[in-house]
Amino acid sequence: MDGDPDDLELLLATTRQEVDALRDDRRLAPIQGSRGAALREHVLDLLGAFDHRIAETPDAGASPAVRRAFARSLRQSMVMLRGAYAALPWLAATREPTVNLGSLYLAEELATALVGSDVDLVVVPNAEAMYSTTSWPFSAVIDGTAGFTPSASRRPIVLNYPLSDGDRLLLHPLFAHEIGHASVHEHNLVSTVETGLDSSEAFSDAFSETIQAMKTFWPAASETRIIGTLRAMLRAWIEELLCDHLATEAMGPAFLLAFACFVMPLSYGEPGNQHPPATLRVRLMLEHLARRGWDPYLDSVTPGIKSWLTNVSADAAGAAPAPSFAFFRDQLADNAETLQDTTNVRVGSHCLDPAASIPAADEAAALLDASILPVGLDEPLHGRAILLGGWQSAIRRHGDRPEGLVHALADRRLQDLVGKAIEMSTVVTSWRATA
Amino acid sequence: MRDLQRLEELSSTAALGLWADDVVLALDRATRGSVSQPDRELLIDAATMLEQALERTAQPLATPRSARDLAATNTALSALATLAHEQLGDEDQLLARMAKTIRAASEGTLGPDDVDRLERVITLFELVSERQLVESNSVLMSRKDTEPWTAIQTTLSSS
Repeated sequence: MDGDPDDLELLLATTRQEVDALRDDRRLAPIQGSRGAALREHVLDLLGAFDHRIAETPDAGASPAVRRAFARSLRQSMVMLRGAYAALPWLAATREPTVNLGSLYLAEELATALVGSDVDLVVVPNAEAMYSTTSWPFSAVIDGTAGFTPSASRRPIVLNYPLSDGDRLLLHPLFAHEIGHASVHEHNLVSTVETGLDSSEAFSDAFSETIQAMKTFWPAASETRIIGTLRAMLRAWIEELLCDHLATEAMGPAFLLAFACFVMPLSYGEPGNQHPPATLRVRLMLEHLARRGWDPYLDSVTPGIKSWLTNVSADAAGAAPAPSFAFFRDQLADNAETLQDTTNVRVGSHCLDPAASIPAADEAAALLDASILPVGLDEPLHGRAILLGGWQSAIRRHGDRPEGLVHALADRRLQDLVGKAIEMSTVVTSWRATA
Repeated sequence: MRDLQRLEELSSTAALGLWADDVVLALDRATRGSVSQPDRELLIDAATMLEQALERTAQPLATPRSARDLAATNTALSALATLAHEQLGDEDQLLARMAKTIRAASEGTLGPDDVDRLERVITLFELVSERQLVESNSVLMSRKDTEPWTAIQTTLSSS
C-alpha cells in the first residue's frame, strides 16, 4: 500500500541514494573562479532541501494519511532529482567554455545590464537547434522547504545556444532575449505590464468579450478555467514580448536582424500558447526601433531588409485561429508603448543609444570592410556597437536582401573578426578600469 | 525559445505537490494539538489559497497575480469539482467551509464538528498532491508545449 512500511523503505533508500549520487558526481566538485559557482550552490541547496525532508520521516505509528503524504513527497522529490541531472552538464561546461570568447563577454555584459550585477551566467551549447534559458531552476522546491535555509544568493542563469551557432556571432544578439527572461523574473516586469492593462477599461471590456467568445469555442471548460488559461497565456506572451523589447533596447537593430535570420525561417504568423506570432513580434520591434530613433539608420544601412520586415509586420493583423489569439494580439499591439516603456526603464543607461552607437558601428563596419580587426582606431569600440557594425558590413558585402542575411551567417571570417574585436575591446576596457 | 524553462515548470509543479503534502502533515499535527509556528503559517497559506479559489468562482476576472497562485487555485478547483461530485455538495460552500476549518486548525480552535470537515480537507489536499505528482512526471517526460486552443480547433474542424 502507498505509504506502508515497505513502500517507505523503498522510497527512503532510493531518495537517499539519488541525493548521494548527485552530490558525489565529479561535475558537482568545487569550481575554480566564479562562473558556475552560484549554479553549483543552487544544486547543492536542492539536495540539502531533500536531506531536510528525509529527516522528517514520520514514525511507525503515524496515521495512514501522514504516511501517504510523506510517500508522495518522496516520489515528488525523486521526479525532481531526475530533472536535476540536467544541471550537471551545465556545470561541466563552465570548466570548458566552447562559445566564442567575445560572445561570452558580450553575454556577461548583457546579464549585468538587463538583470543586475549579482548574477552567475553559464553559457552552454545544446545539440538541439534552439536558444533557451533558465534561472533559479530549482528555487520553487528549495524555497518551499520550511525550515531549510539555502546558501546561494547570486542568481544562476543558464543560457543554451545551438551547437551549430557557436561561431555565428551575428546571431548572438538573441542572447539578449534569453537573458531577458531572467530580467523579467528578477524585476517582476510581467506584473508591471499586467497592472497597466488591468487598469484600462478597453482591456477589461475586450477581456470580457473574449471570455464569452471562448465559451462557444471551448464548451467543455468552465468560465473559471477559460479565464485562468487566458491569463496564463497572456502572461506568457507578455513575457516573450518584454524579452524582445529588452533585447531591442540592449542590442538595437542587431537583434531585429538576428531575429529575422533565426525565427523567420521557423515560423511566420502562427500564434502559440507561449509565443506570439513572428509577424506581431517583428511589428512591435520595428515600432520600438522607430520610437528610439533608429529609423534613419535602418533606412540608410538596410532599406531592403526593413522594407521586407515592414511587409511581414503588416501580416500581424491577419485572421487569428481563435478569439483568444486575436485578443492577445490586439491588446498587446494597442499597449505596445507600455511594453517599450517598461523595458526602457529597466535597461536605462545600459541601452544601445543610437547617437553614440551609430558612429561606432560605422567605424567598425568600415574596418571590417577592409578586413581589419574592428577594435577601434582611437578608443576601444563598445562590444555591442562592434556587433552592429558587423551586421552593417555583412549586409554591404552580401546584399540588402533576405538571402543576404543567410549568406552573412555563412561568412565565418567576418564573424571571427567581430568576435575577436569584442574580446579585445572588453579586455582593454577592463584593463583601463582596473589600472 | 523556452525549452530550458521546462525545468522551472518541473520545479514549480513539484513544489506545489510538496506543499500540498506539507499541508496534510500540518493538518494531522493540528488534530493532535501540536501546531508549530511554521505549521500555522502553512495552514494560513492553505486557507488563503482556498479563499482565492472561492474569489475566482465569485468574481471570475479576479485572477491571482502570481503564476504559482494561479496554478494552485486551478488545481484546487479541479480537485474540488471531483470531491463535490462525489459528495453531491455545492463547490462554493465546500470551499468556504474548508477554508474556515483550516483557519480554525491554524488557530488551535478546532471543535468536535470539525473532525469530519478536516478529513475532507485532507482528502482535497491529497487530491491536489496526487495531481501534481502526475503532472510533474508528465513535465519530466514531455518536451512539448501543450496547445489547448489549437488542439480544440483541430478537433472541431475535423468533426
